[in-house]
Amino acid sequence: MSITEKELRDHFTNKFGDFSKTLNGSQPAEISNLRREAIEAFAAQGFPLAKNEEYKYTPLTKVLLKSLKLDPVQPAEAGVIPPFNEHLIPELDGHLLVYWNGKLAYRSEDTPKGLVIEQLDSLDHARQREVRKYLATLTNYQSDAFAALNTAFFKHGSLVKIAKDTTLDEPLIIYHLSDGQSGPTYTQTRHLLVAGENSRATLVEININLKSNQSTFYNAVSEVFLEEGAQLYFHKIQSKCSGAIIVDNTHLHQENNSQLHCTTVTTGGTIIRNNLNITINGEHCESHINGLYLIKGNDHVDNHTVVDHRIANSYSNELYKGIIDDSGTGVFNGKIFVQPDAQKTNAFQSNKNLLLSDKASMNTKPQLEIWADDVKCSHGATTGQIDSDQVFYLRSRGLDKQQAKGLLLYAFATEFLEHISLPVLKDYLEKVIADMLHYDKS
Amino acid sequence: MLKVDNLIASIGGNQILNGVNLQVNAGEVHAIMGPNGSGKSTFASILAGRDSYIISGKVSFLDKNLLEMPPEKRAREGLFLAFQYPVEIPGVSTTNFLKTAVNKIREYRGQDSLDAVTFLKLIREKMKLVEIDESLLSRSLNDGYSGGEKKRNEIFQMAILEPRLAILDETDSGLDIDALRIVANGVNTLRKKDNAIIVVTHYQRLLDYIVPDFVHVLYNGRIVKSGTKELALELEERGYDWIKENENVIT
Repeated sequence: MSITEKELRDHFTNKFGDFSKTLNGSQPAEISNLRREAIEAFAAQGFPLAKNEEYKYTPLTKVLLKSLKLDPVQPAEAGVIPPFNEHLIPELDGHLLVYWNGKLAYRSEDTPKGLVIEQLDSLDHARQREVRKYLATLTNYQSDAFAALNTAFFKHGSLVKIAKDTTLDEPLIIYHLSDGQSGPTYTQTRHLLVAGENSRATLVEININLKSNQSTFYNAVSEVFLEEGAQLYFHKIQSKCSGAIIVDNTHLHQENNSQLHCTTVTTGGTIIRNNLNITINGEHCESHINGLYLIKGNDHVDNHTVVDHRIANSYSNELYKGIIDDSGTGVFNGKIFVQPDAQKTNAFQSNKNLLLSDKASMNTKPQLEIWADDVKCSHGATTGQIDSDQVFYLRSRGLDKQQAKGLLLYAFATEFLEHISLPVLKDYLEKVIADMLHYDKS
Repeated sequence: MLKVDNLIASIGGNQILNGVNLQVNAGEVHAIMGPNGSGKSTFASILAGRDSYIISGKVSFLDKNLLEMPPEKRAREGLFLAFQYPVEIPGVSTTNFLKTAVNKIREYRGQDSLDAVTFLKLIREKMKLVEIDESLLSRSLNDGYSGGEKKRNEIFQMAILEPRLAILDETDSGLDIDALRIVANGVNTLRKKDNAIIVVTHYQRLLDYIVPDFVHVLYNGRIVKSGTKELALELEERGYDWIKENENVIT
């Protein structure tokens, strides 16, 4: 049975009091004030309805009301965590953090030199005050209900600091495993990462939704800071999210000479909304932003991106590609802002989609707002079907129809792989994509 | 090898081929010439299996009904079309694609797949034939190739796939004289007594290098005149107008 938006909203706002009590004494006024502001912002906005332009094509609230029950805000604190090794990507080695229903379940023992990882729920008052300098400075909890909800209720998550001049040889890998076996779970994960000056690192974030008969709602906020000269490869993998409801707010902030390679791969979920917001607040920055979504069944995947050029002489290049089959729905909204001070900006954006069935749909909206006069910018979007001339050419060389289409789709989908810095992850993604597209790589 | 019997084809209500008859035997090279819009390329692509036409008539290839076969089966049976406009396929490297193609054809013929080393040897051997560069082959198929590179790549593919019947659709168009010579040399090397070649062309100049046994003139969707290589020279000298006039008088 469905609940109403008001019921669900009230449920969260009513729970806030109890939740605050559980934190009683463990947080300084700076943090409790922030949470209070956030819950007020949330109560005032409510969950976004269809008339909200930002959620026009993604009926998140409708799905939440249909899928959720008014159950605990936080997943069960206690309980035995079952073995999870089988769910991890084989041979993908690095410094591991595994969250189970939002709570840290495992962490690799030896932390590499120059890497500091703390858990947000174990910081003392002084550390929390220091963290407030970064926390909620990038996220838009005043205007986004999901960011507000997370900011009010977050408890678990990592605070990651990569020290100045550090090069991490191994990637940092964060898994989020969700399992609704014992009831629906609501997860409000929060991460904060600071890549220090001239540091180099690879971060892999992987969402896995285990088979369950219950809905899992994963609502995350990550704030990532690239200080001067930092280089970060950030791979977000949503390859096993069947049945999941995910709202991911990721904010990245770049200072002078920093380089970002951000890649988001999604192979479906009940409804997935990724907000990727990049602020380029320095000169000579580079941002390579890539995304791939493969959508089947009734799944719905929405990528909203913002690239905000605030300072001159930087470069951003964004390419999102999608293949949509069955009754799947894809949404892409990409905004580029070039602020008055951001002269000599080079900013490019492209969104390309292939529809494989009559019932598949794609809503794409590239937006470009330029307030500077000496810039080089372009954007574009295409949505179409497999090119029949290409299929005929391949068939005329002996490939059957299925193989020809598989080869073309596979080639279309794997263009972004050059931005994946880890060979093991690259191999894994090649396999996932080939399987999804029924393409025999051998 | 190939027997075309009263082939009629139309697209969107326009009849392009009005009853083509042609017989090609093993070891022969046939040239099909004709003015623009006479149906030459339509004929070539129908033989390769393009399905956008409404077709009637009979075509047998190696004593099998060609028109019943999907394009891939025709290729596996040994038919090859060198495209007038080779299609660009970003993201698919020429070598990977060819390896798949070769092995599909070998599988159909009951032969073992080529391993990577043998395939590479084959590639290197055939590369020399059309003077194509190895770096080009590791790039995306035809993507960003020059006109000449595309045409050479078609003949290179022909060399790798070793068809029984190759149809070269205006392979000479867009080639400078040096590229033309390279392409023609490649084709001549592949000429054997158990295979056949159909050269579709507008101009005679390619036929200076690939000397045909028979020349046919296609006009208004029919073969209106057939002869030997001397016919090509006559066409070069006199143009197509006298053919058109004769034909228009008859009809």
